[in-house]
Amino acid sequence: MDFQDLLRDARLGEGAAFAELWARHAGRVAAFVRSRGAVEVEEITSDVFAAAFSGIGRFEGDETGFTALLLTIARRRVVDEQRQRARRVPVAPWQAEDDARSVPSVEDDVLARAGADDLATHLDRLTPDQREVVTLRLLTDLSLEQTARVMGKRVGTVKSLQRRALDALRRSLADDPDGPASPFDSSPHDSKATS
Amino acid sequence: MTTLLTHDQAEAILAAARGGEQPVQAELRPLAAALAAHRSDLAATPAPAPSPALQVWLAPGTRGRAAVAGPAWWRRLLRAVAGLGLGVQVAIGAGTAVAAGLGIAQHQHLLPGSGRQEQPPAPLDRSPASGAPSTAPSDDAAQDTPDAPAGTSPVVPAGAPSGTAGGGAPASGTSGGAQHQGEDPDDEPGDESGSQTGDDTGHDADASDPDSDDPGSGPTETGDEGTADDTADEPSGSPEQSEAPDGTDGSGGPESADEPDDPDRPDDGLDQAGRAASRLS
Repeated sequence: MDFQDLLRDARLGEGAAFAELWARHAGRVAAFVRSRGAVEVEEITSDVFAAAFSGIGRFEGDETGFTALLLTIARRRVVDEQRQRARRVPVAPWQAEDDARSVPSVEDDVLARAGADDLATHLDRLTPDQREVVTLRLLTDLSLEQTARVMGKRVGTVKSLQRRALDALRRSLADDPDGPASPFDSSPHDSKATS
Repeated sequence: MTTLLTHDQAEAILAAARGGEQPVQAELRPLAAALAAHRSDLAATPAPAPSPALQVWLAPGTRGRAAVAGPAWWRRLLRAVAGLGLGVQVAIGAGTAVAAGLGIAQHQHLLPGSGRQEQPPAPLDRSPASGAPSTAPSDDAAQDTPDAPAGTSPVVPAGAPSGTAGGGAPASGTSGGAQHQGEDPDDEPGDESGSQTGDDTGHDADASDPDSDDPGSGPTETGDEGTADDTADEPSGSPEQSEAPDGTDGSGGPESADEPDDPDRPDDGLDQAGRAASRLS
């Protein structure tokens, strides 16, 4: 179904049109939310679509623009969630696997490497903005201008971030094709990425 | 490997990762392949289950029509500015109307405190011939302005030196003449010229006539009437007094009536007139 027809039906309040939009874009939005480090991925994704459906009457554009709208809302929701988490004092019972002071065994490390995405490990070495640019450009078909709009930055800034991110990924892959040799190597980058 | 990627190279890598056919340099192909695999992993992420709030939207059926797209932001801004301008104009118009209304009301003496300047209570006019002219001529007599026409000048002895027609005004001696002076706004030039010469003295004499029956009234009344008394008492007065009727027309009574009232001056005029009259007598 053409997106414009879908949009017209959605404006008329057709539930089937909303379901179709959800089916087309929910995976990408969830992936973006997850890549941003959100915890409540499902909840945030649903909130994003509910907000987009509420204002569907005011939207004008193509499917890429609708994707940019979804990701813009998702980015703000993730930021809100991270701020709330930062203010909230976590109270949870102690779990051995959650204790950061514990060092995983070699076996656990090997198993983790086998199941993890290699590029994801290298992506963690990038700055948050660089990682977001790569994710947006790679996950969706957004243009530079649309990516800049989603991130709230200038196009030139996005160009620079993208170029430096890919260059860092290239160097990281060339230096360590299999990813970090040990968890200690990635600790500085992880702390930077999570900051 | 030491050189940084260019923007074109970065775009080519991303295009290749998206599945495009753009040529990529050999040294950059591993990166493009890794990005393509990562993209596939991201795309394979299963869609999460919708929340209960979202399930209301996704339920089959027709919901309410979505809100119509509003106007663009610049259109809303333009409307807001136009509305503000209209409001300012309405406020200015209302203020102008109120100010104009107040001005008209004040001009019409409809507002409290906006009435005419209160005049001192007119002295009792016991003379039978008084009344018609106001007290203004008496003011003229007191002020003795150069423009004061005939009849208003304080000293108009019976034998006024000028002897002009204007000078004869006070000598008219007839209250009727005085009334006519007060009522006729248009004086003849000749009369006025005459008043500038000898009338200044003649009228004071008339006004201060101690024999006047109406000492408190304005010089016009008192003076004219006083001259009438004078003429009666002093038949030997200048023969010019008989010529007064002509002069009384130019006595300037009406013009003097236009002059502002000065409540303090009549007394002075009376005093001067009294002294002049005493000298004459």
